[in-house]
Amino acid sequence: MKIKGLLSAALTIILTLSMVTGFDSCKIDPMNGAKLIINYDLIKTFINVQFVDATTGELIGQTDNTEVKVIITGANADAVLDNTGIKKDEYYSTNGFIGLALNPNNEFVPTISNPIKFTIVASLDGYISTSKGVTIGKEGTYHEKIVMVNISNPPNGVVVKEEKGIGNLQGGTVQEEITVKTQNDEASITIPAGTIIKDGNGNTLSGSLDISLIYFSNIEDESLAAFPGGLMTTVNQDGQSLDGAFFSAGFLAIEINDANGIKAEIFEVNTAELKMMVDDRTYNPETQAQVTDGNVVPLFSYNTDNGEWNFDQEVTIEGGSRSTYEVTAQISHLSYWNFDWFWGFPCPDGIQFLFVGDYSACGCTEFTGIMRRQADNTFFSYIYFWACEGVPIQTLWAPPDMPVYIEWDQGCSSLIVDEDFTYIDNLCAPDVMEIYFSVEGGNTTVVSVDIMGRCAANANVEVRPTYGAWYRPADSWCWKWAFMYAGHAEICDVVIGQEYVIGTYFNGQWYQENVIPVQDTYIYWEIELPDELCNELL
Amino acid sequence: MKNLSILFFLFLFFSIPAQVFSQETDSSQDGKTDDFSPGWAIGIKASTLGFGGEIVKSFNKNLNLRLGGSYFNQKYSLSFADAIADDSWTYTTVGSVSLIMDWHFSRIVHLSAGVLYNMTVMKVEGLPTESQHIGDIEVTPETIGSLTYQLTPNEICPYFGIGFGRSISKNKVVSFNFDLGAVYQGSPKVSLDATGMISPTANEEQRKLLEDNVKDLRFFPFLNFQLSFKIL
Repeated sequence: MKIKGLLSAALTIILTLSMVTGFDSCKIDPMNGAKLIINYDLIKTFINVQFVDATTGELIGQTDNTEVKVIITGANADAVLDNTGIKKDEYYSTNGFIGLALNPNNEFVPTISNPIKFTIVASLDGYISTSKGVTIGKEGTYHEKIVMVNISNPPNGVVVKEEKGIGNLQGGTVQEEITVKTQNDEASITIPAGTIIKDGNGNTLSGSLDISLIYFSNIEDESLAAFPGGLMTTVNQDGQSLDGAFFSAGFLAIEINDANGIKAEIFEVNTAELKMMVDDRTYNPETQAQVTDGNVVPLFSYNTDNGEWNFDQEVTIEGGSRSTYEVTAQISHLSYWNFDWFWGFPCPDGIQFLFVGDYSACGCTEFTGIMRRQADNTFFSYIYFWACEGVPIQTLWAPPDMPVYIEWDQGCSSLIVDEDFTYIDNLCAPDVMEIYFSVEGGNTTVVSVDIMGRCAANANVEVRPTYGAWYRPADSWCWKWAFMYAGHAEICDVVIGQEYVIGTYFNGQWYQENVIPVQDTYIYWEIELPDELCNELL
Repeated sequence: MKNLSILFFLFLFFSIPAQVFSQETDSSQDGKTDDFSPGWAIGIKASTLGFGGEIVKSFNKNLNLRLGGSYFNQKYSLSFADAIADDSWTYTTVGSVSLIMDWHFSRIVHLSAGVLYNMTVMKVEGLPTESQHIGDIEVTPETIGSLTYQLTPNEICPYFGIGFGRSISKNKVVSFNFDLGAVYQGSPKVSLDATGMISPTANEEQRKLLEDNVKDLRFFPFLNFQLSFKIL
C-alpha cells in the first residue's frame, strides 16, 4: 500500500496552488516537517509464544542468539501470520519469544462455531521437537508457553537414552536384534533381526544406527509441561477428528537415523516392540482410580504434518518385572508414542472468571498460574488471564467434568491473588467465578510507554504498532505482558526505583530497554522497522 | 488552477475585440470623447476570485464605486495519486463579495481600494476506493481511511490595487477594465482531518505545524478582467 502517496499528493497540490496564489510561495513548503502517522492496528488476534527450557525454566535464547524454528501446520495454518501481518514459511524466535497473529480477513475471523485451529511445531538442534495445538474461538490476545527438552540436559521426569553406531543393516535389513533401553528400564525398544527399516519415502537405511529413546513421565510437572503436543490436543479416531484432553500414562519419543543421516519411519517384515513402565500413581479416568493390571490404555502416534494424534491401538497394562506396571506395544512405524486416555468433547464456552480487586490505575493486568487436575494433582497446563476490570473472561474449549485447580504464580507481580489455589469443579459450568486479588508491596507506579516505528527509507512516516510489551524486573525472568494500542502501553504494577527490562517482539526482532521507574515515568521508544515491513506498508 | 487560467485567457480573447468594436461604434455614432455623465453600470468579470458580476456607480469622472460578487469551484482528480488512492481530489473554491472604490488619477489608470468578503477555501482530500494489501492482509478503504487538508483565509479582507480602463464608461455604453492588486487575507487557517489507520496524522501538533508553514501566504493576488455596460 502506498499510503505515503497521500502525503505526496497533498504536498504537490498545495505547492502548486501556493505557487499560483502566494507571492512568497516559492519559499514556502506547506508540508515541511509534516508526518504521515499510521495506526497499525489491523490485527485483532495475537498469539504470543514463549519457548522455555524444561530444565532451567529460562527462555531459550534469552542470553544468546539461539532461535527456535517454528512452522505452522494444521487445518487453518493459512490464517497464521507474523505479528506484523506478514506470512512466512518459517518463523524464528528471538530472546525466546515469537509474536504470531491471525489474519484479520473475514474468512479467518474466529468464532465459537467456526474456530481457527492450527499447530505450532517447534524445533531446535539439541532439543526434542515439540508442538502445541491452538484453537481460537474469539478475537483477542492469547499466550502460549512451549516447553522444550534439551536432550543433553533433560528435566526431572524425562529420561534420555542415546545409542550411537548400534546394529548393522544390510539392504535395509536388521542383521541382529537391536535393543535400546533407558537406564532404569523406564522404556525400551526392540527391533528384531530381519526387520527392514525405511524412511518416509521408502528408502532403506543402511549400516549402523543412531537411536534416541526418550521417556516422559506422566507424574512430574517438568515432564508433563514438556509433553510434545501438550495435553490439550486433537486426535483422529474412528475416522473422526476430536478435540479433547489427555490423561497420560506416559510418552515416548524415538528417533532412529543411519550413518548417512536418513531418518527411519517404517518397519517392514517385523514390528518393533515398545515397552514402557507405568507409574502406579497414574490415574485412570475411565475407572476413576489409580491404574491396575488389566486396565486398557489407548496408544496414539503423532502426525507431525498437522500436529494431531492418530489412534493406533489399545494396549493392556500388566504387572512389570522392574516396575509395578508396564505396557507393551508392537509398532510398524516410528513416531512419538503416547499412552493416554482421551477425554473428549470440550465445551466451546465454559466457565467465566472475573478478577476483582485494585487494578492499580491499570484497566487490565495479567495473572498466570498452573492448572492441575484435582484427581491426581498432576500438571495439566499453564494458564494465562489478561484480566480487565469488570470484564469476565470466558474459558474456551475446556474439557468437561474434569475437576481442576489453579495454582497461582504469586512472585512475579505486586498484584496477588488472595488465595494460592482456586478450585474449579466443572470448567464447563455456566457460572462466573470471582477471583479476588490485592496489591502487595506498595510504592508502585504506572510507566507509560510510547513506541514509534520508523522506516529508514522515509523518515516522514511513523508507524504506531498495536501489539504489546513485555516487562520483567531486571533480576528476575518472569516476563509479564502489557497490551499496547496505537503505540501506547501502560505498565501498571512496577515498583518505583526497581530496575526493569522492557521489550517487545516485532517481525522477528526483539527490542529491549532497561528502565528504573520513578513516579510518572514516561518512555519514548523509537524503533527502526525492518525493510520487509516498510516495503509492504509504503 | 490551470483550468482557471485557461478560462481567463479565453475570456480575454473574446472580450477585447468586443470592447474595441463597441468603442468604435460609439465614436462613429456621436463623436463624443470627454463628456462625463454620472450613472450606473453592470458588469461581468473573470478574476482570480472567480466569475461574477458587478454593479458600478460613478460619482464623478474620477470616482467609481463597485459592488460585486464572484464564485468559482473546481474539483480536480489527481492522476499521479491514482496509484495510491483511486480517488484523490482537491476542491478549490474561490469567491468573494467585494466593495471597491476606484480613483482615476489619469484617463485610463486608476487606484482601487476596498474590502472583500472572502469565500476562498482550498481543500485536498485523499480517499482510496479499492482495498490494498499489506502482506496477506486485505485492508479496506474504510480501514485505510481518508486524509483531508483545508486552507481557509480570513473572511473579511482589505484590497488594494491598480487598474487600467474603466469599470463604467464616462460617456459610452461599453467599457473594459483590468485590475491588478492584492487581497490581504491574513495567515490562512489550516484544518486537518483523517480517519481510519491514518487518523493519528490529524493531531493538533501537526495542524499547528502545517498552519505555521503557510503563515506567510498573507496576500492573495488579484487579477480581474471586466466588461461593463452603462445602463443609466
